[in-house]
Amino acid sequence: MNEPVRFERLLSALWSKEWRLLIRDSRSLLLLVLLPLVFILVLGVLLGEGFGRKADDRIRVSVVDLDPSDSQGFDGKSWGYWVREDLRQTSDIVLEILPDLETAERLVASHRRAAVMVIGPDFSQKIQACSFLSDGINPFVRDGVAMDRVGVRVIKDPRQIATAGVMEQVAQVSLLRVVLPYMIGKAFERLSDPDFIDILAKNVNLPVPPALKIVLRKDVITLSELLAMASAGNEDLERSLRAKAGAGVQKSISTQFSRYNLLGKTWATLTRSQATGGATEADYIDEGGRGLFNRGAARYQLLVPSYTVLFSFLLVMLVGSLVVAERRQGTWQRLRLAPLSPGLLLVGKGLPVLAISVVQGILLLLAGKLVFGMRWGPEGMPMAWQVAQLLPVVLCVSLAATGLALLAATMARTELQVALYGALPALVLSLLGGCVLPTELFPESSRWIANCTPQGWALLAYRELLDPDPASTPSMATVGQGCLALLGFAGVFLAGAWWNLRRLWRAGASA
Amino acid sequence: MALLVADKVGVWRGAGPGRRQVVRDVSLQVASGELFGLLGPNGAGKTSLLSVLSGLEVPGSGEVWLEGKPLAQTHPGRVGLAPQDLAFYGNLTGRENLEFAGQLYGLAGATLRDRVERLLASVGLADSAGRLANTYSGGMQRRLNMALALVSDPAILFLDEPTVGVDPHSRNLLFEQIRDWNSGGLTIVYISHYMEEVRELCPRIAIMDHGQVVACDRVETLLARERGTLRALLEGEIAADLPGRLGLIPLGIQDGWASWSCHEPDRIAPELVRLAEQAGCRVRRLETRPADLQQVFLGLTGNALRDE
Repeated sequence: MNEPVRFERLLSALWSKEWRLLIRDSRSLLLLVLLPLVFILVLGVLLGEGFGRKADDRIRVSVVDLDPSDSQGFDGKSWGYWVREDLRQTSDIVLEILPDLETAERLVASHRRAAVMVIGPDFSQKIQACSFLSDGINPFVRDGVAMDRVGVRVIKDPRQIATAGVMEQVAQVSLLRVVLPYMIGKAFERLSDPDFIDILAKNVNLPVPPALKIVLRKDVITLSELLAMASAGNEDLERSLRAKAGAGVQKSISTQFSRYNLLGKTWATLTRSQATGGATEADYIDEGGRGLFNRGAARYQLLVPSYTVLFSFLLVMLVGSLVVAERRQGTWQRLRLAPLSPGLLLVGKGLPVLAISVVQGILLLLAGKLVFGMRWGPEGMPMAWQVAQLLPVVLCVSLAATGLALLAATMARTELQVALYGALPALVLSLLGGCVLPTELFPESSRWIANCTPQGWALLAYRELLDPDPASTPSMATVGQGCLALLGFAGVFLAGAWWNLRRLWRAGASA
Repeated sequence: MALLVADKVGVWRGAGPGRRQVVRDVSLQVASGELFGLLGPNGAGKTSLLSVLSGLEVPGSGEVWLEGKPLAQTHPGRVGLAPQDLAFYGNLTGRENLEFAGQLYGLAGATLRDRVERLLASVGLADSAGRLANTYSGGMQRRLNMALALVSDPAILFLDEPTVGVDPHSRNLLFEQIRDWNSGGLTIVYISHYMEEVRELCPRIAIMDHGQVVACDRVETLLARERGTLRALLEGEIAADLPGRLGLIPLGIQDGWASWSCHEPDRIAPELVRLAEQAGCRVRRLETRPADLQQVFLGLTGNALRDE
């Protein structure tokens, strides 16, 4: 009995005692796991797409192109492609390509898009048929292009008429820029067409010079007759002469309207101009999620780590109240009478807290995956590798949170002081670190503040791994940087906690 | 042989201009196997002295010795302390509390289990050992608090106000338990401001006031210093010189009852009856009220003990 008690036995005793006390405070534990889930759920349901990104003032033009890519169009590409290309070259818009009609209808029906331009499956076919000729499709009406005539429609949200109207105008202009040059070019090509020269030749009446009037016995002769006479019955020669006449007409018109390439068939070649800007193009990613909880919504990639980090640091409430209760009760005296040291006591108290924190982090991430459909890493990365990347971050966050909890707990003498020294700073640090409001929404000049908080570094590491972009490859350097910073914070917090505890230990009954 | 020796112990509280001495040069000895009482009003410095005697605090001046060695050099387990505040974890069961306390002193395995079960049985908590301690009644909690102080098999047990918040029945059970432990050879220091408890349990006591031990002796010796009261219902006149001969100081006569103040009234009463009847005065009824610790304290300090 009088032998020195072995370190591991003391540690084991402290561990089992603290662990039991922590897990038997079931209400606090439930709050540590359930409350963040409630926050995540409520925000996940209420927040819209684009949470965590700065609002984009540019108009978003969403397009579904059902025109088969192998349709006959221009330059080996379908006309649907050329409409998208035109929109892509339009400045100050965001072009979003939706995968299918169902997605388009769902997005509009759920008011997540004001309008979607649907390029129909027969679009190329109909554009090919557009012509100034009477037997072609005339796509033009007073307002521009009659979309229904070319197989295009705009699905509109009746609640967002104004935005839908603007989007429709963008679609109109784009269609005009595609259809009109094509029709002009096609028409201009017709100038060398034998049929057109035939019509022209029959309709051009030239006065017969007086010297030939006796021979021809007429005052007026058509161009057609003139060409027949010139070819002297040689049909090849006559065709050649007609082609020359057509080329001449084309050249004359081209010379006359030299600022335009009337054969261009595209807006750029017709107007001899190049686009000066371009749209930001974004492939559609379903960021909204599905079902009651918006499962799989991109915002969960932000919300889950944010609230996991926030509530990790709120562990200070549970730990603080336990330590304060111990100091206020005789158990503190009992511990001081026992063969313990402040360092051993700190480790004995810290390890179960760390375990609780790690379990809390894992549970929240697990709930994020199972309940909210979040990803633990880029798509295609093996699950084991995703877990292996996340666990060190969870551990580092827990170490920093445990350190802060123990520091605050050793500073506080009352539950009120636990709130003042622990919960309040934890909340403020979480706010500054970007747990409540993503740092992207901070003014540029204020973002550095997040780097002064463990929460900021924790989110940096988490968000690198849990990027909303499923194709994004996480930078291990960034994750490592975040983890190192967290370990640094943990070291400082634990050192402070040890110093406080040692002071209390020595202060004796007056502590 | 003295188990515990306190030599001119001084304790200070606070810092700077507010620093004050709460225990002033206290010297006392507690013999092995003794049940020693430390009595004093609230604020007398009992708990501060206890902190030093139990090793919770190093004295600002003076020394404390236990089993012939400076207290700091003795094994922590040689001192058992049941503090006034209940020193256990409410969210652990009674058994878990005792096991944890035992583990802190290196107990393990069968030794730990045996010690825990024996203590649970001795304080009457064996049947409720599996319940969370915060579900115990006040008396059960006090008993658990005492059992925890014994888990390290200490040489001396300090009980600080062990009956606070305990009903009379539980208090009697506690007293029985304390007497049992003491009769088994355990040295106990019983600290309280309830003088009747101390008088009932402890043959020898120290009385503290304003940080000082104002008296330390056997209870009978202390009580003998003070005067009690003797009342007698008489038939006839007693001799005028009789009270003086017995050392009685007349307090007055009311409704036939004569009252005197005297030392040790229980010892004097039979003598008074014998002498009165020899003189032809019949004593029909007699009442004695010995001096109490309140009077002792009043006599020593000029202040009431402020018993509550």
